[in-house]
Amino acid sequence: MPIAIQIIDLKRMDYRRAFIIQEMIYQGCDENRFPDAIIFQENDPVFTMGRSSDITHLLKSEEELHKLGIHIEIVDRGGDITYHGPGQLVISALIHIRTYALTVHQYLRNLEEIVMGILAFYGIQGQRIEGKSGVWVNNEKIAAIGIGVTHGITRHGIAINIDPDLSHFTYIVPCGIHDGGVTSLKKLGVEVENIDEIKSLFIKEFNKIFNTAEVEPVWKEGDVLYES
Amino acid sequence: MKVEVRVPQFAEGATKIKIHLWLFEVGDTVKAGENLVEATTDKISINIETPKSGVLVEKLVEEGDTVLIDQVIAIIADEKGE
Repeated sequence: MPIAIQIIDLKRMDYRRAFIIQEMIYQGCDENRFPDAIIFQENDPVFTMGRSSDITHLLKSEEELHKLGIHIEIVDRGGDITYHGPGQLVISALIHIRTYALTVHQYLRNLEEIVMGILAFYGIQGQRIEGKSGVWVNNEKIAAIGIGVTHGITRHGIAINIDPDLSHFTYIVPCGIHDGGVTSLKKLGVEVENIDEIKSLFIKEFNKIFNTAEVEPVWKEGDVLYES
Repeated sequence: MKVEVRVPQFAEGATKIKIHLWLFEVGDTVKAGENLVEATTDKISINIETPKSGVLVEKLVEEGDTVLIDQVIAIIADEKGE
């Protein structure tokens, strides 16, 4: 039988607010009040630093970034520094990893496979590069990955560059990788008219790979899950 | 009774699992399900929880150590320390 999954679309949202919502949903999943979840979001420009972050990979001062309107957040995922901003679809999956009989390694590879399926839909061949996570096209990264697991439940996930401001990536050493640039669907000549199309493709591929089926979400746009 | 805390099976396949941060000290009381220690790989952060309530009596690895799947990393004992 397929595993129930809810789809929560936060649309464009400040990273911190979206993070708080993710935490509320995580709590619900942990207490088995909520089904597993996929969360979509596009963030205001932000650099997030994971558990393996090296501060020297941030190439601008906090003051300069403030002027550029880019915030910095410390997050509880694995991985080094990365950028999120408008035009990039951030996808978090909150799943009870033991239910799927998956190892974390297989899980990451599955997320990459889903993104490669989406790229194939647009006629682009995504690749994995040995020793580096994420999805790459011509040695440039199009999707970055980073997850955290608490109580056997995953958090965070994968971010796909659709049409972000790629100049923002030059302010960091993305994921600590010096040799290899960053790309986007737009840079590869693909105009995505509606980001919802990518979300639908993701859900379709996710359901296929993880044997999940969509159920009514606990959070809808405009709902308040917490007191700010 | 003493219980071993092990690196969970689902972490398998992750290359180089490193102990990142102990969240408790030896002698601390811990509750079943509480996060005891955080481990990381290059892209994954894993919170390893304590399997039973009791007292953390021994840490077998230090922050920065590389660990293997199923490796025993800590010992939890009953409140009495047995």
